[in-house]
Amino acid sequence: MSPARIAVILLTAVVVFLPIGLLLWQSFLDAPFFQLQKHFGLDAYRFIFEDPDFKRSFLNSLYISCGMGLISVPLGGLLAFLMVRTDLPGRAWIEPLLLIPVFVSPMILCFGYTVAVGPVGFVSLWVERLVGSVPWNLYSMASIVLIAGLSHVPHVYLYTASALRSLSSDVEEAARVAGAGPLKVAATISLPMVMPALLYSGVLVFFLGFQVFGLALVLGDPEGHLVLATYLYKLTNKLGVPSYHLMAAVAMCIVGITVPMVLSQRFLLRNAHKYITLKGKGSRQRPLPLGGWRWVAAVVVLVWLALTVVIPVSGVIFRAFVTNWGEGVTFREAFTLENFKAVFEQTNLMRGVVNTVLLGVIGGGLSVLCFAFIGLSSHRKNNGWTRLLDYTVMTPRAIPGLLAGLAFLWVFLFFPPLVPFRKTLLSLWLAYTVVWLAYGMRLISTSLLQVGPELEESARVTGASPGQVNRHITVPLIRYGLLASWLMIFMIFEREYSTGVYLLGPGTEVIGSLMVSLWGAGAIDIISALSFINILLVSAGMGIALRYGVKLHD
Amino acid sequence: MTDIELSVQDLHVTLGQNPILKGVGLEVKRGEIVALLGPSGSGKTTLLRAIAGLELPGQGAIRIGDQTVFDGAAKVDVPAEKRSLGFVFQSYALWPHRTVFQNVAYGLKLRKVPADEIQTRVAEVLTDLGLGDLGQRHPHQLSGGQQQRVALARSLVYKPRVILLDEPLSNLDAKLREEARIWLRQLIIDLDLSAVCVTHDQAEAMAMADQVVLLREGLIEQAGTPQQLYGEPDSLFVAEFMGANNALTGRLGSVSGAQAQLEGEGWSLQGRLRTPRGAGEAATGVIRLEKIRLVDAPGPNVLRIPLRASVYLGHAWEYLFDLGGTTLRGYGPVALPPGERLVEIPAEHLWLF
Repeated sequence: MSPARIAVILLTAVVVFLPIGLLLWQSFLDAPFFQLQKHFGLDAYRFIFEDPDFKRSFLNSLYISCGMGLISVPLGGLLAFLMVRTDLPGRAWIEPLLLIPVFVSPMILCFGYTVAVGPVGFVSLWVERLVGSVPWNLYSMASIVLIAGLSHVPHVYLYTASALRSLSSDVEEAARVAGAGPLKVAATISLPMVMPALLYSGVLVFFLGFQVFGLALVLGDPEGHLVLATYLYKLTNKLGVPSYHLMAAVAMCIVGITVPMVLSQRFLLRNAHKYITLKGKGSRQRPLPLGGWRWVAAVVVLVWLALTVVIPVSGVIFRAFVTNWGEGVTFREAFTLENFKAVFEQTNLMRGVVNTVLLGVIGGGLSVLCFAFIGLSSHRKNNGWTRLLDYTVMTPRAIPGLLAGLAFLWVFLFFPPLVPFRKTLLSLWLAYTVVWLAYGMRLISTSLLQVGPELEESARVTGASPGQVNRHITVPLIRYGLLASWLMIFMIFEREYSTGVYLLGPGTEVIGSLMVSLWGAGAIDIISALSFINILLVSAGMGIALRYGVKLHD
Repeated sequence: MTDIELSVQDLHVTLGQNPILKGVGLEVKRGEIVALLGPSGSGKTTLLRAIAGLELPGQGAIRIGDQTVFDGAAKVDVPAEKRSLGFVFQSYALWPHRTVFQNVAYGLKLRKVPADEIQTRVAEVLTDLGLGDLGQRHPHQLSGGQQQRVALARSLVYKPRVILLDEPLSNLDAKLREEARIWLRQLIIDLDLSAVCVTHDQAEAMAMADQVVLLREGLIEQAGTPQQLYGEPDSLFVAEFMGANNALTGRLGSVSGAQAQLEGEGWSLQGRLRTPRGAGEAATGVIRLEKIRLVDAPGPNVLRIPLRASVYLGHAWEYLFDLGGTTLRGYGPVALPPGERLVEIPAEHLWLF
């Protein structure tokens, strides 16, 4: 290993583990770390474990996680089977729609839900006129679990679909010839063979459940349902003083649950080969004819799409263009562009929009550059350093954006040389880059894996040093992969809302964190307008991706 | 001693947990073509890659010309790019984002050759290899044979003294391959290069090489001229690898010097011992298919056995005889009906192991 590679790996490890270390250290103090009077101890943990609100939040998080797993795994698996394996009508245009919940922030989707199916939402009012009352309560725990579950179906879908795609249809045809009907084939051959992918995504959804923040903030607030992340967020208000040690203790509780899950995913992935869901050749696939069932299946998919995408997105867009909404108001008289005018007139909001674009375009590009350096530093190496890098890259998956933002705030407060940068986009960019490190590295390593080793070896033999091989062969070969990664990171950075919450200040506003803080103030008009702008930005990214055939998933 | 362009001594390579090479040595003289031959998994490609510096050996030494490029004991390991070797990959490994010209010119650019000289030298080597006007094409616009020649041009342009070829012909179709091996041999001789060529095809090895090194499970089974390996195999493995054979199992009767009697059920044949064996031991007799003859009169080493079938091969007929349950095969010019035949197994061609 050359010193440059080792330096990149060590720097990555420091940037990832330092903030977490700070969280851990703070959680064992009995006062914020910047105070002079502080002692080591378990006081913080004692306090939160005795707080009945913490217990309730923990249980709610557990319900949400389990509910999400129970809803999204079967639905995601079914959806993947229908989309990949059958002649479901309209597969081509359903595919990008499926990914909307992945690229649109849950904050926005939940605003959409309150606007559309909340107590005075336009769908609710319409139903009330028809049947006399609204037969659901959006703010109940059951609704929260249902919405969390439905909006995580795409996560399961993505993993299962890619496993199903790599399964050649001859194994299914062999089962058909041996006498199994289509349903029997799905149940006894296709599904068992993608079991590792289902299990993997099940664990993923389960720990994402413990990271749920925006959804619980918007839908849980009205009836006071807290989850771990919202409990953490409200701690400051609750005690009236910055209770960093308590926040750190809650953060460590969340991390304590998610880290083992992330590690178990690694274990699952390692054991996946015994099912051999991946095969190099024989990817010829013939869709399974569904016969009369194809229309039933289409209706199921459409209902899911309506519930998870159409209702919230149309709700939020609709709300952005009206002054108010309620009984007896018509769209014609309520139509307005004032909401957008307000955004453009308030400097901090306008700065938020500009910052969001800057962070996505320039910051995203810089992040991809960093990811590429990190990827190249372990490319075709397998030793202790690369294993360290593996764990470093994996760790941020276990850290919810809210906590990462908090940890980076502390890093920028704690280390004097960094203090001047706290109120600049640099702090935000660093936090975003670390939060999405695992995702970004997956994008990069997918590209790197496609470069045949002999292309690099032949350059070595021809006389190129390792650095020259990188510059002349490897990087030029993955340049389209890097551009595609830039686009993906752009969309993810546009969507991100929780990482910026604690870093929010004059100069570091982004749409996502502004929405969280405006939600506290109840400024629904402005939030809707910001949401609309945010959806436009993400749609622009998706449009480019679809236009140039960038794969939105692997 | 300057006559030796490449020497490998006691080379050990371990990949992961698996020992791949367990002490291999060879020498390549100037202008000589050495073929590394062996079944898959024998370590021949690993040996080639270790010579190029693409695998790190555990112990041993490699010298190119006067320079030691690897010495396990002295902790010398010259990186691949400093060894100045030519290497032709099995897949050719042409860089898809560069034109043919850029592919070939790369090695010269790295050596800081002036631009106009690069221009002339690349044009020269492309013309020599019959690729004159293809310089501006990209690799995917070339046929397999053209790609192979670009790969060669790329590794020849900076005039290495030793060129390493990893199954260079395996991606060509059968007819092209037979022409290419003669062409390639002539090219290497014309350029006065030393070459090491990996192949799993013994016919290719014999047609191309001055020396053949047969590897088996990480060790050299036998090394020598093609004639030695084909005509005087040291072991059953070499005999069976190098040609199409009949194998007869039996027990050794009388042994006198190199002559011995192989006895099976109802038959006894005189043969030559290739390894020292004693009377009474179990042994295998090997005879090449083309050495089996049909004769008219009984004599020494002539068996009367039934012909089962004649199979048409195009250039000859193959006869299938039955020797007490074992199938004995031989060639002949005409189709013969099944029935008893007299078959001679010449004693000087029956090798006993």
